[in-house]
Amino acid sequence: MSEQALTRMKINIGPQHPATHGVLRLVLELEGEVIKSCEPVIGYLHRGMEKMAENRTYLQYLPTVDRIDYLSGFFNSFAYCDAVENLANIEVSERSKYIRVLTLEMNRLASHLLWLGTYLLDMGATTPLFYTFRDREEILTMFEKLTGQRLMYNYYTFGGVRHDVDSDWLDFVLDFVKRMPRKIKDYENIITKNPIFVTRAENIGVLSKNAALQYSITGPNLRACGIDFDYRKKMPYLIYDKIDFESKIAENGDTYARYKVRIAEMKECLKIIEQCVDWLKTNSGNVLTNIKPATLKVPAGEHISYIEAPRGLCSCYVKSDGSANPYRVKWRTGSYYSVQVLPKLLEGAMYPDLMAIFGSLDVILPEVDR
Amino acid sequence: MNIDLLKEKFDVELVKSENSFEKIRVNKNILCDVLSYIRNNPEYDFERLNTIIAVDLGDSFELIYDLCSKDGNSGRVSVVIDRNSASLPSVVDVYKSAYYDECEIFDLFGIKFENNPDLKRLLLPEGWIGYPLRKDYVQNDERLVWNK
Repeated sequence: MSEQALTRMKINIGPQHPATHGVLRLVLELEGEVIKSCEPVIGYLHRGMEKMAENRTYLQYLPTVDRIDYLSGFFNSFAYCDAVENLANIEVSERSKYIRVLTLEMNRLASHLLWLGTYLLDMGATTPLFYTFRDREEILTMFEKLTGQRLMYNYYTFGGVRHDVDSDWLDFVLDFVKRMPRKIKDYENIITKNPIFVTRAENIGVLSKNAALQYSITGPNLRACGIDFDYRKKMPYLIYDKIDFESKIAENGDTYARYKVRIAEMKECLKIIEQCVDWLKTNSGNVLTNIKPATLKVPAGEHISYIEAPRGLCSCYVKSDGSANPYRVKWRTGSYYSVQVLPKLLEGAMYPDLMAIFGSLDVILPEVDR
Repeated sequence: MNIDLLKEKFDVELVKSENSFEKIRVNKNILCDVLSYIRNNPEYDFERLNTIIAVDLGDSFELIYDLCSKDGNSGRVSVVIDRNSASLPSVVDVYKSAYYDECEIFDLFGIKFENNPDLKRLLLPEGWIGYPLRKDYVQNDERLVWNK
């Protein structure tokens, strides 16, 4: 190749691009096919979620928080409820804690399934998408049956969940959980050992342990670097300390390791779901503490909740001054920091690897811009 | 978290809000020193900065640096700065993840960070007038803001 062909070229990707799963713009500088620099431009989906909270009462704000990350609405909802419950000293009953864990883990599974399908689609494998969406559809149907909504549930409320689960629904879940391991095994058979996928995914987008911590990477992306940090284990919330599960890690920190961690996590999700269903079938109790959320008085104070969401740490800071509206709400989401680390991962990478690396981080843009 | 060790070296105090939410209050001049000390000291080991939270307190701003240690302990370092001279040193040299946080706070609160490599509007469009998360921000018709 001649000298001239290797001059730097600036190329713009997005904001509307099918593989960014949202509205992200990347300004790349290329030398041939090698990426020399990358600058993410975010903010296209900024809806002012934090400002919105200041103009609404605690209860009025609750339905909007599901929209922060539309693929894992339960996690945002729970992060907010947890912060408010701690501020207002609201006790949550054992049964609603189990229902919360059950729905959270089903949501994590649905979110990982969607990631798996679209990630492989980004890499050029069209088939897995249809399989993973088939399974995700089952989970969404169950959510629809329970909450009336497929994505924006608004099911949690201060002091518990809106209504109890019935035994038919639990049977439905149990049946699904029994069938699921075989399907995950199918995915593993066609993907994990697939030589085309493995050569494509290995040794690209390598994130070192040190860089992961410096850039505040959390969740599966952090565990793929070999750091065993899971908020469900390190700072157990709800009833995670009573449940038998493992936090899965991988060693290399490349895109293949991130894939392996998520696949392993899906199996752990099934284990947790099964234990929750068993408990819910044999125990009964109230799901809602006797408070009136509409006239809730939150005493002055501050609280931060830490939740292990599918895309890393989801944390919600709520400051109350004793009035009807929150004084300040701040959201911290995992994807925000995954986008920030992107220029580092892409430096020196090949242009065709761009979407393989970006997809492996599991970034969801509404969560970045809030 | 154990503050005694920190007290020997720096001029810090432990403050608690109404619901005993603990923060370590430091002066903005020693912020970077305190953060790099608790990051590197094995006694604290705060290897990750979760986020920076800015709060408008009326005549001042409070910034809370939410940290996380290797064992899952959380620590919060808080700085209060004057509203009229809203600036403080950047901590990007200590925690690289702070870059986006600082840009966001600059964008929404108008707080300046000295030595930040490239402080810019991150979420709002360039040329947006005002800082929306300040309590005295008037929510204008968006079209008026754009066309000015």
